[in-house]
Amino acid sequence: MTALPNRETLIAGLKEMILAECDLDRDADSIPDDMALIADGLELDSLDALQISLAVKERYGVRIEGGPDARRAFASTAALADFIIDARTAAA
Amino acid sequence: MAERAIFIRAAGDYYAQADEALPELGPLVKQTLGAQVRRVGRFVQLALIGAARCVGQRQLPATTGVYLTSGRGDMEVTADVMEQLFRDGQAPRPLSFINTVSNSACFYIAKQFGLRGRSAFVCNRYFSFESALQLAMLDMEAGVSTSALVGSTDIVLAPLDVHRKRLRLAEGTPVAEGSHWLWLEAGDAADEGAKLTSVEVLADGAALETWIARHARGAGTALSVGQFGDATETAAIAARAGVTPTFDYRDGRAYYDSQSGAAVSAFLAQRPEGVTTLLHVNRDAEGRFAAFAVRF
Repeated sequence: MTALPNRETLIAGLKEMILAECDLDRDADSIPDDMALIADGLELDSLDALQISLAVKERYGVRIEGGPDARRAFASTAALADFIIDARTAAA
Repeated sequence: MAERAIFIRAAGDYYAQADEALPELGPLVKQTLGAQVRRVGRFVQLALIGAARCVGQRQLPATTGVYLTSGRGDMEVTADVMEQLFRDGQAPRPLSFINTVSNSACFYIAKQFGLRGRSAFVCNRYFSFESALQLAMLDMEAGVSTSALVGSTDIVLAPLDVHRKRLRLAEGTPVAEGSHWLWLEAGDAADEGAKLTSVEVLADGAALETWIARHARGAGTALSVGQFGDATETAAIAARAGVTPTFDYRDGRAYYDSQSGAAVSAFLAQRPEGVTTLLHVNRDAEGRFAAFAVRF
């Protein structure tokens, strides 16, 4: 499991990861930190969410389980970064 | 009630001999379809490119069925999932796993062209294109559908020496990627145009001879031999039925399983003067034949 970078770097890395995992043809810079990931915003769907969940588990060792977790984690890339930071802090 | 026939309204192809540096297909998909298609691999990309070249700017009837075939299916995503499972000991990625269902390629095609008819994916080592064509024809003759998009797709995976081993080809055999599509539509038999008049799998040479004799139209008949056919054997059978193999659609093509898909579009594009009928014959390892007839 990789050590977490600072929040800003983590958000930038998550954007790149989401673009790669979901096969999105756009620049990471065009994604605001607070842009919604699902439906409006980045317009991802449940299959994308599942793909991102597995990538987060592999890369950061954090599981996104169930509806409440997913709703919070996929609110935006900033929210996903905070979810990962909180989970790693709680596990430390 | 007027007699009905199955017309070949359009054809479209992609063919490229492969070298180690396989071209990225994403830009060609975007160029051909006018937009990026997410979450698809090489197999679906090739299917989409071939189908889009066939459909062009037409709006097909929403009830059009999609009949896709391949000699080996989506080897890329299958290999990816197998390696994740057994080599890496990890769960496969959802997007990879979902595309191991071969019919998912039909979903992307149906979605792209707004089609809601039935869809089917058939895989056949020797008679892949012929199988899809036969299935579509049976559905149309049974009145299940009046319009069908029929295609074949075969991809190459690098490195090529591993690809050749997977296909059990001799070292150094040239290999290619191909995607061949036809749009079939039922119409009034009295109308002008290319018609698909027969697709059959035949038990042996005697049955093939009878089929050729039934569908040949004298000097206006061209006969092509598929990649798995034995040219000498087929010529002898055809000669007994009064036909000489004259149409070489293969023209030095590198190997891919569903080459038969190229025969119809090549015939439509190059139809020799005075020729009204194409008979195409292929063969499997057990000595069965698959044959189809196209007539103007």
